Amino acid sequence: MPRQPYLQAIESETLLDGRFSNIIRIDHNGGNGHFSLLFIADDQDTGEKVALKFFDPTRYDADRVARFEREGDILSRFIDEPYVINCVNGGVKVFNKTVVDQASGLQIPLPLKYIAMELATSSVEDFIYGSTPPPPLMLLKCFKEMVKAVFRFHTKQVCHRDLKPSNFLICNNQVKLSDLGTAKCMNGTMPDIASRYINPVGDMRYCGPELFMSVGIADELVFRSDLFALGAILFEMFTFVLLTPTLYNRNFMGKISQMNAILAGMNPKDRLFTFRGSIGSLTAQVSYPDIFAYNNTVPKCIKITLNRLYKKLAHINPEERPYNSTSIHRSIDICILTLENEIKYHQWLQNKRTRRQRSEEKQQSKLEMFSC
Amino acid sequence: MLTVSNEVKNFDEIIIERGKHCAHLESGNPFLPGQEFIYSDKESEHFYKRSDYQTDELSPADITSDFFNKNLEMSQIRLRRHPNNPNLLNSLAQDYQRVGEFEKAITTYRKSLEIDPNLFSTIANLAKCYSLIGNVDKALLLYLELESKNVDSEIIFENIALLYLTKNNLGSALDYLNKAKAINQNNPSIWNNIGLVLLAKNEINKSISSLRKAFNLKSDDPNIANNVGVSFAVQGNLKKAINYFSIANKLKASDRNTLVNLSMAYNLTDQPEKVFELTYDYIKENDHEVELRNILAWSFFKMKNFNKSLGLLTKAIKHIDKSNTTATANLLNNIGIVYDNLGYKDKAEKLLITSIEVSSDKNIAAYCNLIHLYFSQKEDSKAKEIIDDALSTHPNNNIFNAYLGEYNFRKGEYELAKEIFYSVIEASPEILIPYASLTTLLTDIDENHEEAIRVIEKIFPYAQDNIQLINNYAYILIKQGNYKKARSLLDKVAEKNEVHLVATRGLLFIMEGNIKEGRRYYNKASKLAGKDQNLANLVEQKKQLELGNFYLRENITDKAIKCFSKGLSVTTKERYYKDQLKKLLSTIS
Repeated sequence: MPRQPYLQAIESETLLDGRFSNIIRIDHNGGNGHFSLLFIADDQDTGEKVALKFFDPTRYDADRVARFEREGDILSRFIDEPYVINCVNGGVKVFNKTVVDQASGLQIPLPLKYIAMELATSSVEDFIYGSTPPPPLMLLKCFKEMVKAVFRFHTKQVCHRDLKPSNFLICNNQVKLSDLGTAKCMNGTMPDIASRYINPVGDMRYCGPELFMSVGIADELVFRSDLFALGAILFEMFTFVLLTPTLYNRNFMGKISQMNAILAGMNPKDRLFTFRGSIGSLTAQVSYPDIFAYNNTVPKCIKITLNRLYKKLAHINPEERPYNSTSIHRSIDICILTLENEIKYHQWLQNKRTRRQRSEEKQQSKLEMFSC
Repeated sequence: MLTVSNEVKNFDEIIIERGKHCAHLESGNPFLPGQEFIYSDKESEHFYKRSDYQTDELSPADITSDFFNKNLEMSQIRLRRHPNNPNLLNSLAQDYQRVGEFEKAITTYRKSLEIDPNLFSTIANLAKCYSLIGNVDKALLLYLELESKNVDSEIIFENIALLYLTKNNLGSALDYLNKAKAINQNNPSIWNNIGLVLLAKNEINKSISSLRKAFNLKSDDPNIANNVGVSFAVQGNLKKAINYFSIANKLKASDRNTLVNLSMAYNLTDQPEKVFELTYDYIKENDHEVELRNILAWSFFKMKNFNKSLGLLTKAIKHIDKSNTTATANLLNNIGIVYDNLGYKDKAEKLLITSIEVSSDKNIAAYCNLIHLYFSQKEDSKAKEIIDDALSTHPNNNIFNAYLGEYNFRKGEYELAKEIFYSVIEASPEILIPYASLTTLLTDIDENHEEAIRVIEKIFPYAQDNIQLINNYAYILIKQGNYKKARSLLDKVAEKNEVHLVATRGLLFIMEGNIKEGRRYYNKASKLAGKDQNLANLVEQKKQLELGNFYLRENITDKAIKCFSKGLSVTTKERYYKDQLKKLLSTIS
């Protein structure tokens, strides 16, 4: 079923729920999110621009509906949280639209579910792949904010499960987590969505190996799976290359498939136990590329620390990933400080050179005067 | 009793091809690791699939191709969001490359370079892509372009080195690896690859030191451990080779190359029983595995379990790639040898002939084994035909000249045989065949013990484990009266039931005056000869000769004559003892 009539129907609405006007589709993908319809609108209450995310009725699936509802639920728990995109209408709302079938003249009622959120100006993906590559210091500061966002999210016992640069939005120079459709609350306050997937929950390009083996999806390792994604993003920020296709070759993926064939049939407790026993052999098979080997983006003074940090975060064994925000922040801070010092040092060196040059010129002119 | 050449079983073994198991480390091009991917055009319409199974688990399907196709799809979506971004074009090109669409990959890389011609990761990736499709020259040109742009990257240098290796230009490869090393002294893959180039250049000690350095830097890398093992094996230090192969095997269980190397090392150090334990599971899981079956067959062969060896080899031949004529010929040769040992001489002969016919380069080992088979069957004329044929196809191979010498020796053309043996020893001193027969000629016919000692001492330091040479050396020492050294040599041999060795020990006792013990040993040797009637007769003839000699030295002439006469009454194919007996008898008369 084409999306076009829905997009038009929503756009034709002059005042949605008596609050949102001037609705226009967001045109990244012609108004299409991956599984939703995205619009920009004016919020009459606040006078600000907002984003409206509609559930895509053309891709109806009970699972997806449940996930959309869950996203609204999680967003409503994070209202006023500075590191999560804010929901402005309190969660999922239903807007009943009536569409007239042109052939039969029948009026068809259409309940359209939507969430209204604050509007982001760009995403971390735009930041990385903008027209000019961002300087390393900016990248580090941005990554620090991203880490902060993820850990604040985790402290509320919610894991994201689909971290990637395009899901970190930037609103007023503030990094915010978005797209919580796959997020999961681990304190039992939300119902499970019973599913058996053919692929991991989030974007496979940022998935740790455990997610391909039915581990880290909803068990105690789930938070550490988010850390893998952070490591992969850090790698990408400095290399412009995706980490996972570089790490996971055909043999590796074959091994993972074999392991999953065994693990998938087990109960979660046994699965985790078996996974812990066998992950060591997988770790030995992976060789990590160096973050500084791709280009000259990584300054020499931080390359070792940065390399170590990304490798720790994206460790094959989830339990080796540093689940301690302080240690991660310390590494980033070291990089930032070193880089700032380096910049200051270079400025000082430049100033010194300029001063020396000036004094030499002065000396020269004095000598010339003397010789005259 | 002296051993003659055709019993020096140089070639009566499964053929070993060790050279090819040297694992090159990939340069670790981080721009794109050399991976092969299966492309599947199956598209999954939905990211999630609804069903009523357990919560949060994956269906046990193979996700490999899905992973790479999904990546490609996502890269395309991302590129739509940021069109003409050279980095994203580079990423997309890599995804094409991973699913095997090299043409699309090259076009996309070129597009990326149009936007940013200085994006060196794209240039490097394009070079890698060219090298993957076998266009080494274009790849090399691109890497050299990067070098000219002063991109001082160890990885670039390493890749250039690997391309030069592909072109078999070891010198340039080594130069570039050294350049890479100058940038980073602590890169294990550089040290590893330097070690491998040095190994190819036959600079074994330097190679070992480089590889060990690599291993020190990355002691958890199975490939490096394996390579250190290979270099030790080439050096001949199999004990150390086994140590390193075992480490590699522990680090990466069931790695085929390591299993092959370790198994061969076990076989070469006479520990065939360990091979079975090592390879059983792998062979069971990999039905089409030919090489390991062959090696395990060799182990059973060494343990004299010929039936099991035959079973493995016949299964291996079913799975072999028939277009690989060398491997097919080797397997046929091996089956032939096993049949020979099982007593099926006709089958062995047929298979060895087929092995020679099948191989494009006329399998040398099969030639040798066929000649050996004919010699053991006393079919010297057939052996001569094969020797002539082998010499026409391999005129520069001295092994066949050695066999020609052996043929003449057996025919009684001692002077001609001696001449040929000397020329072979001069040209190819590493060939063992002539030494045994030449020392026999020099000792028992010419009685020139000093020359015999000179000849055997030339090869002995390099073949100290060779039973036949030990036997001959001890024999000559006995004849020279150096009983102590002869005894110590014989005592070193673990094999106590070898016919010639037992006979030589008998001679030692007789020379020391212990007739009773000497006789007992000769009789034991005769029994050990078993079905080989000619060998048993030869032992008996030699016994009578040595006993007669003893009585002659003791001036008990009648007993001596009796012994010589008895010796002459024994029928043997060889005539050298008979000639001696006749000569002695006529002297006494």
